[in-house]
Amino acid sequence: MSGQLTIVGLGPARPEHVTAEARELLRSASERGARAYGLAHVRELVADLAPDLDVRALDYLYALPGVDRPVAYQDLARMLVRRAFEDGQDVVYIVAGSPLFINDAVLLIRRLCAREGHPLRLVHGMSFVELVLSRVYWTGHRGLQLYSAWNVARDGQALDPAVPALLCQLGEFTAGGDALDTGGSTTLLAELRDRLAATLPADHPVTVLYSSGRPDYASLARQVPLSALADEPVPVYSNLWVPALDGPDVERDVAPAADGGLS
Amino acid sequence: MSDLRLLPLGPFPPWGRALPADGVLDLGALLRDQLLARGVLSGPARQALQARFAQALEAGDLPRAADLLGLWLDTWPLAAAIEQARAEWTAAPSAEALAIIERAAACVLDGFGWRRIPGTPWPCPPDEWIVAQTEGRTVRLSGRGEADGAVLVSAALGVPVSGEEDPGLPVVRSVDGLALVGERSALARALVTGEAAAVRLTSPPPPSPAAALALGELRMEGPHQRAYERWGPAGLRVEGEAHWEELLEDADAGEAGAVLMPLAEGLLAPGPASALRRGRVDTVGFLLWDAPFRPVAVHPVAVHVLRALDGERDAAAVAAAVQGPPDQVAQVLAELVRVGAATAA
Repeated sequence: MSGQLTIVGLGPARPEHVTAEARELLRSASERGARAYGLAHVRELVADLAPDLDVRALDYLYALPGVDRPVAYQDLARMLVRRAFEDGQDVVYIVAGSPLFINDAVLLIRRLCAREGHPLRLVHGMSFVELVLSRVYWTGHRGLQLYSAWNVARDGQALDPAVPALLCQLGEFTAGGDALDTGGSTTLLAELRDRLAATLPADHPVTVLYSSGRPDYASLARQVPLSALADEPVPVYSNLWVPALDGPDVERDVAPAADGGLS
Repeated sequence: MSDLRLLPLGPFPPWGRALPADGVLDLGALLRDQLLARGVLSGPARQALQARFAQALEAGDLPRAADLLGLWLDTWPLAAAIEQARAEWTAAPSAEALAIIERAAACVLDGFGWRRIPGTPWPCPPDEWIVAQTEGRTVRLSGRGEADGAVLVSAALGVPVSGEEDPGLPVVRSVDGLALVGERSALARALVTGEAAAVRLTSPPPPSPAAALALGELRMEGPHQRAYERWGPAGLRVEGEAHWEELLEDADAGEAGAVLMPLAEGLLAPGPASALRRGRVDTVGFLLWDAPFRPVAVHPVAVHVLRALDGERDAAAVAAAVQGPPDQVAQVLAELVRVGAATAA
């Protein structure tokens, strides 16, 4: 049975960050009556970009009793591949940001398609990293460590203090998908602070990078000494910039907003 | 008297006319039109719920009292909304109309102490009501598919169910709960392709992640699935879900003025429901509108002040009437205007 599966990234949030290819994909998907799937924030964005495209809500995957995220992502991957290539449907899976950045479900879909010999189309989206890096000065001279904050705080991922690090999803403090209550984020922040303190001094400057949210999605930055990292909660999709110990001074600075005055 | 072909109570609420053709009586449609009516909700159902609420309080059954208080208070907005909901249901069904009808049915069930049509949230009247509709006629009872309540009617009248009327509903796939995970792919495909409108689980699914994921997929892919699970076959006529509490609105603020008149009714009762559930009984005021507005709990003084408004007294006269300090009464009056319970006369 024929079918097709397309994964499309919508970029970090602002409509102007959606690529021309992604816009065209959504428009044609709407015209040909494709079956689109996405989470709530994606549906909000699509409602503006392609109002006639009905995006089926995947949010239920985060609220099923006894189903943790790895299992939910596995199930989502299997379901979308089945829908496309067993049921013969024209499936479009819409994600925020870039499909290739910290997206376990997309990774699983790609591997599943490769293993089973299914064609897959990937429509790239701008990642959050571009926005985040606009508020710091990353030279690239010492490379970059990119991890989920969870990996460092709870999975034992060690960081090299001689290399700057960008830790994402800073406010994600549970595996159950209820991390949108930012008040709980300080738990993970405290664990992260303690892990980083093993190799960095207490006064090492770290910068929390986050978005102002709707409607401007301005890139915001708050620099604190490492010892104060857990003093205030952060939004779930915050990031932490950790300059290298003894790295270039410029990497310790916070850059002004580079959005032409939007913020 | 001629023979009567009788259509059963369900699937409730039906959408046809009570007397669709000569010699045919749709018992469900008759029940729908008699029961889901402003006069029932603002009259006998409200009175019955008040009485049951009082009984529950006397018996010390506060959780039950809390439920009954909610139903009793809801008879005000329900009475204002039910006629339109019923008309909408028969003309252009929506989840919103069905949610209103469901809440009205709950008031009837708990107020009158009726049983349910098995496996549904819908009321089944006492045998006497069923018998009274067919008095003196020879009856031929037809079935009408899933959840039609025909067995109950058959038992009440002592006549067999003969023949089956097509309820005109889309196809539902049935599956044993234990087979849900194994049948998941086929069931989801049936929903996606439109071969089925919903899936009926004939037994509970196992409490496993795999079953939860399977049910999640069916609910996502089947536009009628959630409505069907909640409302039975009636849910196959609507897409999505709606909840009564979310349909209620806040009243618009009134206009301030030297002389005010009431826009709402004030009621004093033990409550509120949240306190009753915690085992505490206080006298609370409730503001109620003859409109689909959310009941508002207030200090009892506000009810006394509201009752003193007659469209002629100014604030000082109202304060004198309720024997309250003028400045405090003025504050209460301002608050009544703000919540839309009073307006300039």
